[in-house]
Amino acid sequence: MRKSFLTKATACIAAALLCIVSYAQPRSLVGKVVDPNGDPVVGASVVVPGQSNVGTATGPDGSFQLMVPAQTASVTVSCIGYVTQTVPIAGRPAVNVTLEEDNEFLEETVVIGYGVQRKSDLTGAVASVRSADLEHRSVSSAAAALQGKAAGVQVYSNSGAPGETSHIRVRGISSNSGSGLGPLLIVDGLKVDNIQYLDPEMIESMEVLKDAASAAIYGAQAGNGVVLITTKSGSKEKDGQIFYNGKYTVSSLGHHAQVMNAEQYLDFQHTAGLLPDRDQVIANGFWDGKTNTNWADVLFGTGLAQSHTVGAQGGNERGSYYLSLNYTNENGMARGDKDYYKRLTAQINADYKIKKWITVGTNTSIERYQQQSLSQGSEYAGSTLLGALIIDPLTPTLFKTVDEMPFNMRNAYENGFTVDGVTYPYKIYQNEDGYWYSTSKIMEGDGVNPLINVARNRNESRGFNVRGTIFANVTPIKDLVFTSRLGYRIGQSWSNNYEEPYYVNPKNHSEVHNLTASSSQNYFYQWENFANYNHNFGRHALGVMAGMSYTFNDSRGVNASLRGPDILKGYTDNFLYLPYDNGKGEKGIGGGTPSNSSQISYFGRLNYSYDNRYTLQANFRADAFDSSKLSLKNRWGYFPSVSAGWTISNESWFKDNVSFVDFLKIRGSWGINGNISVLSGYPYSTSISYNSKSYQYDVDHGEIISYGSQPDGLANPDLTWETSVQTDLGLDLRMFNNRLTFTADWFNKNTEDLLVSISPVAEVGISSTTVNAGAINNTGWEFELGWQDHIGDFGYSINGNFSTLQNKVTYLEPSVGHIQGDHFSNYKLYTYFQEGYPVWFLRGYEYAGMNAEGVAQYVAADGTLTTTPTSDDLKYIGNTLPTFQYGITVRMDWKGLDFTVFGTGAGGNSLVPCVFRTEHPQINSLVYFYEQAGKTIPTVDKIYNSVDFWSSSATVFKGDFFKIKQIQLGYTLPRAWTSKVRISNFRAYVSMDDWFVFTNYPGFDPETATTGGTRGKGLDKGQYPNAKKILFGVNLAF
Amino acid sequence: MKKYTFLGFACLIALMTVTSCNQDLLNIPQKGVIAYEDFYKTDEDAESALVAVYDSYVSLFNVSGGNSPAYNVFINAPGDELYWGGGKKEDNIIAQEINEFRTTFGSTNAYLTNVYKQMYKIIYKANLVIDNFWGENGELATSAVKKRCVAEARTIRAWCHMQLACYYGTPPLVDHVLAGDARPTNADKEELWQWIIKELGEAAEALPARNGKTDKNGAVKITQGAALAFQGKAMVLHGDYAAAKTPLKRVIDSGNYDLVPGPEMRDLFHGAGDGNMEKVFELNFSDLDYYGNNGRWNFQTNQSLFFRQMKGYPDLIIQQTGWGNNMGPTKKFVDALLANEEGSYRQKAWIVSYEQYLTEFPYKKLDKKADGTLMTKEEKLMDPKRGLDFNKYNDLYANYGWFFFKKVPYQADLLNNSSVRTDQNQIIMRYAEVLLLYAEACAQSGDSDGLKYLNMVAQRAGAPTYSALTMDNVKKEKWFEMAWEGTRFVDLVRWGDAAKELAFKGHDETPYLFDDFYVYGTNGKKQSGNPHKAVIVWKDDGWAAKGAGFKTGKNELYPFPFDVIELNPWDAEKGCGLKQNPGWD
Repeated sequence: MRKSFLTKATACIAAALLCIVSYAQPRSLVGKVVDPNGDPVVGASVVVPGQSNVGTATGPDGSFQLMVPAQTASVTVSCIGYVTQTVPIAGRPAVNVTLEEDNEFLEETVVIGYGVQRKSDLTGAVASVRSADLEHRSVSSAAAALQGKAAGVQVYSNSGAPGETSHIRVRGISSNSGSGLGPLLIVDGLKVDNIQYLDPEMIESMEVLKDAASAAIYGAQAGNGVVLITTKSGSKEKDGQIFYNGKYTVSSLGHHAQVMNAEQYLDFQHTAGLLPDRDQVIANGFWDGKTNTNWADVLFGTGLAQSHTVGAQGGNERGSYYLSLNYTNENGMARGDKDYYKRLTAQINADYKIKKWITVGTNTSIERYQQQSLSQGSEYAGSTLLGALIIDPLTPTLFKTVDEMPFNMRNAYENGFTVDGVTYPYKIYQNEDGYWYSTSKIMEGDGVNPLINVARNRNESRGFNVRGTIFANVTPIKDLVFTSRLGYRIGQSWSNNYEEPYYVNPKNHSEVHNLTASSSQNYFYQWENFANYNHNFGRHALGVMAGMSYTFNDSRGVNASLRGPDILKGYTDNFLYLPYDNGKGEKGIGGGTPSNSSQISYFGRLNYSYDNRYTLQANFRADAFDSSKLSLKNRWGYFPSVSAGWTISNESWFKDNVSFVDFLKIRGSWGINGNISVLSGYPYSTSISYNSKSYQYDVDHGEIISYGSQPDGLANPDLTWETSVQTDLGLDLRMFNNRLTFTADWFNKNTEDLLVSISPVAEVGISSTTVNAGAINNTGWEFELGWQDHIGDFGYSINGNFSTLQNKVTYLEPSVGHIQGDHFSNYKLYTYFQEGYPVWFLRGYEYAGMNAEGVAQYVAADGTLTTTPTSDDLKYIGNTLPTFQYGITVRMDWKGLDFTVFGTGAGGNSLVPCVFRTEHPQINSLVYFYEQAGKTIPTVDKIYNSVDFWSSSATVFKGDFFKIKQIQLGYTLPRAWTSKVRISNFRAYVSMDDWFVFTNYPGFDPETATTGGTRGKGLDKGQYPNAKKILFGVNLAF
Repeated sequence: MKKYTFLGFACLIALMTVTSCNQDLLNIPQKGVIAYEDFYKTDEDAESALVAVYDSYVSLFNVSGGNSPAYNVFINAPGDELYWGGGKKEDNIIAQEINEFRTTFGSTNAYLTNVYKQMYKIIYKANLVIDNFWGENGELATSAVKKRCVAEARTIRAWCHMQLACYYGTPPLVDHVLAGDARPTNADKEELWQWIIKELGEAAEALPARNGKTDKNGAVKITQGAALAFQGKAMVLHGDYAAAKTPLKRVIDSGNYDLVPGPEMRDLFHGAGDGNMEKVFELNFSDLDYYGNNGRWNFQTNQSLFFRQMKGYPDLIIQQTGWGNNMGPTKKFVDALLANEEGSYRQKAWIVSYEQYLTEFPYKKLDKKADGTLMTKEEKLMDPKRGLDFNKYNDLYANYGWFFFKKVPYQADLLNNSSVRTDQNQIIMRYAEVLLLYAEACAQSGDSDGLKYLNMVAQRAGAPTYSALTMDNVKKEKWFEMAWEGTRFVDLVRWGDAAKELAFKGHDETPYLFDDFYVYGTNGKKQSGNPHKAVIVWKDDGWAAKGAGFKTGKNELYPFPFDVIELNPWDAEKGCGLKQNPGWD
């Protein structure tokens, strides 16, 4: 493990502060402490053994001066990260000490809330991912880079589209809310709303605080875990370094959805009685007898992405700086330039010790982005991805002549549409050759040629954000560090969307131009003041931290729209802005309302450890939130936690007897967290939506309109946050000279007072209301196992992690009974939230094969088989949450070559590919249903209109997958060569990302399909799949 | 050093204290709302709360179920006046399955579900007015305005329950705002009807009457006449025939309503007829910009759908193609109407034949020939630019050669700036229905007074009048007059005629319309040399063999929506929850 200079220095300084200045009968001793490279060790403590009050710390140049009692024979020199040495000084006025790096200790420090801690001292469950794990990935998001790297941390990507955010879930799902499931995100001490802006290359480390005790210092916001991200800081060893990292990525569609081809589709439809036979289909003009369109291939081609980072860094005894600038430009694999993500990020990190007792610094990140994305994840026509799944393969991609168009389209093309006696044309989208994008002659529903949706897409969003902190560390007296830190975020975003009158089929057409623009600004600041006091006396080490924080958020935006059959002075691209309004359109304005939130918190921590063997820690936090979240009476919440660790390997009886074990610790923790993010928008109150309704009592439509008011819901002043109580037991082990590392954790997390957005029964007349009415239990095992070694020049390491997750709703208020989640079409299959089952499980009929007549039969509630199930027979037919996940990373290096393979997988969950509808049975569907018809499922004519069949487990698939996310080969030129041209490092690599997918799921991508809204988890409505990518990159440093 | 220490600590403590004392920082008032406690007080508040009821009522007619306005399907699909085709037999299946009582028809049908839910939303809004301005015994109705607002709300609430009772039998009675965890149960059928009748009667006495036949605005809000008409209807539906005569006669004798002349019958369902003397109550759709979004988008596009495969449109009607519905009159209805009164005002206003459609309406684009003169009828019938386009299919599904023109939206109904949304009003009760209800109440109770009123309806329609007041005559006249207005199915069920009259749905074949202008089987690619002429091809759509058709003991009622029952299943122990209607689970 490599440690940054700063981390080490900080730790040493902290250790040195624990010493107490000497006082008696002195003789002077001077000296210098260096590391094996000859670099000075700053802040090493130099103490007379047995007299811990006689000691000092080394200065910036590694030197020290100490008055020692006359008879002193030796001094002990120690510093975190180095092997402690006892140096004889008898008769010597000066000593030079070379400290050996402490390999045994793996003295990594990890960032914890409002401080750092030695990893070996941890008593909670903290997963730590270092920069080496994040580098050279093709992903542009920090969250995506975390996937598969830490046990117990689930990373879901909603979509493989450029710039899409990945979602982090720590230890499962402990809320039934659609949002508010992600962990608290803290970057360099700043609470952020997302980490999409962070280029993975700028990250030094990511710590995931998984258990309650670790996270408890963040109180009501930490119920879903905490992710602490530290960006890189200047390294003293790399003082004056200028670096460049570049990569170039080519992406294309990976795992294909297996939909029927033309012959299969024809046969399916004919068997169902929906289409005549082949000859008649051709005679009817539905098909030319040849066309066999694969709509996924029509939509997806090749995507290109590039990323460039340039930067400089440096540091000395008093300070350090790290500057970098990253430019990322991803153009997704869908054809056309309508799915892209461009981002420019600058990171400016610096700190400086301006006086002995004060250090100031800043971490600042500046981001500019631009994004355009295709619609997805919907069962309705607006979804570009849906078209790629459900359009019949008989339809060609293009119509070359007007005669090929179906009547409606042709009619629209020739006649346009008429409003107020004026006729306007429809846009019938064409390609660059002037051919028209086709539309199906067979189905008129939601399946729209995806290229039409691509052509029609004119949305664009851009934004600019500055996020940063400014801090001062003051050391008024020894052992006490007082930190005042101001964090801020300033953001601006803008989006523009234009739609024109177009025609595809009778369901998909528009007679209006619609131009909308919106802009929003937000600012956020947090002010935190906290003090750390650390004191060692003898074998006792004590740490106390106390502080407070205040945060405030303000966001507001305005938007405007213009719509109508004729709205602008011109319709070429340079007129598509609101000011070119011709006065004929309907105008809309909105926004401007400030949305504010604020929070006050107090927190504290107490650490005690004895002889590096026994460690005890307690945390406490009190949080108060503003009135937009909680009523006055429920404003405050209190969150305690305790944890303890026993480092068995430091016991003498163990040390003396078990030589092959280098480190063994067991630890346990218990604590309470809250989840506040589910509360917003005055959910506890009911107000009157004033004048939000209207009716006109004037038949002749005079200008008099009457306005109406009504409540906006049902009040619940008792509403409070969700509370999690979590217990964690863990074990850390290192053996065989630290070549083998092993960590195991077991956790049990009970979340209570779940906010349940319930739909009252229809007769109440209100769509939904929020109550605290449920509890969830998450429990699981997490293992991380690593082996690293080298055989001569050949070095290798294997790191794997595996975690399980059992999720269960343990309580739901009986009056609620169950909550319906999402469903698809007219299926009776719903996702359900119900006591005794995992969150949002799939509920439908249990398919039990066919009876002798070939009719589908189902398991009835009483266990018998039935062909006509009733709603009493609906039952659990699948879990939508993966129950296990794993990741494995293999690295090898030999001379300048390095090779990495990284794979990750998950499983135990079920997926429903939503690509068949009895309402519109002429949509295309998975080839599975064609191939299995008459074998494991009834023949097509028996199922195509059977809601029961499509609501059964026959339509549920296993979501298990394993993906090789990365196969990378790199070569670093020998330093002997590069140094001649003053290059300190040059590495080139090639990587295949997301190339191999192992799954039985017949839809697009089981990884992206597992997401969507939490309630709709398991229902795959066509998400942008992850692409397979090939990547070329270089790393260059001067 | 000490100085800094001291200063540092002093600052820290000061900061913490300042921030902590200031919990006001956490009080952020909500924008754009007023507190619940401050509302429901004044007369203005009562009017405002009532407008929310009307708003929700208007929404009922825009609630969609998939492809179509749900309410139109809900009240009309099971009757015997309409075929419910889509573009083909597998289009808009969930309307077709109601229409033919197919085996796939079940409780997940979105049209039924969405209407059911919207009905209770209206009831909730009405209950807010009633709970807040009436109280238990009227103690909160402290002003004339509040009393009137409550009476309007009670009338609408009772109407919703009446509609639900017709189609669900025993829907829960919700006579106050329910708590979020309520578990309502099926109403007792008898008690529910008694409650509806009582509510309407009490409300009527607290309502002002319409101010004469020319009071247009008196037609778009609840008046005494509306409440009495509803009460009379409820009594007839419930079988209280003798009692029903009183409120219905009060409406007739009020002098505030009259039938429009026969030639104006077409206007009844268009903007030109909004608020006319025949309207007892209708919902006002407006074209003001800030209200225009409530225009009837779904409603009209889908009613016009059967024109989607027509080449060119008459200037009169809107030219938009829609999606989902193709509602042609049934052979049964067409044959009966023509036999009774071919060429009457009513027949011409209600239905139009294929040939009439092509030749009797002006077509701006097509009628003028190259020499500037207009086409003759014969020329029009040979014009390849008109008629059905068979580009896609050989024939048009579920059409008997006639189109239902009664409610097809006109160009004149369009909202400003829109090619699809219209603002013609939605009739809830018109005077013709009042007369027919009165005639029935008389016929059922052996009172010959009703004959005069039955004949008023027939006479105005230009149809033959009746010499005797028999139920057969009442049934026939009501069928013709009220076709496609949502009364037929409910009437058939309560008259005990449903099984007989709807039997054709279980065994009839389906008519497909073909134009003789083309050679059949060529998808319109080959012309036959004959003039345009509707030819009906009967095909078996296969559903009858699968068990489609009205089933006595089941299809009299709709199933309670699947997800409504799912949320609130019958719990025998606690005696709460909803029981599904017989035969539906």
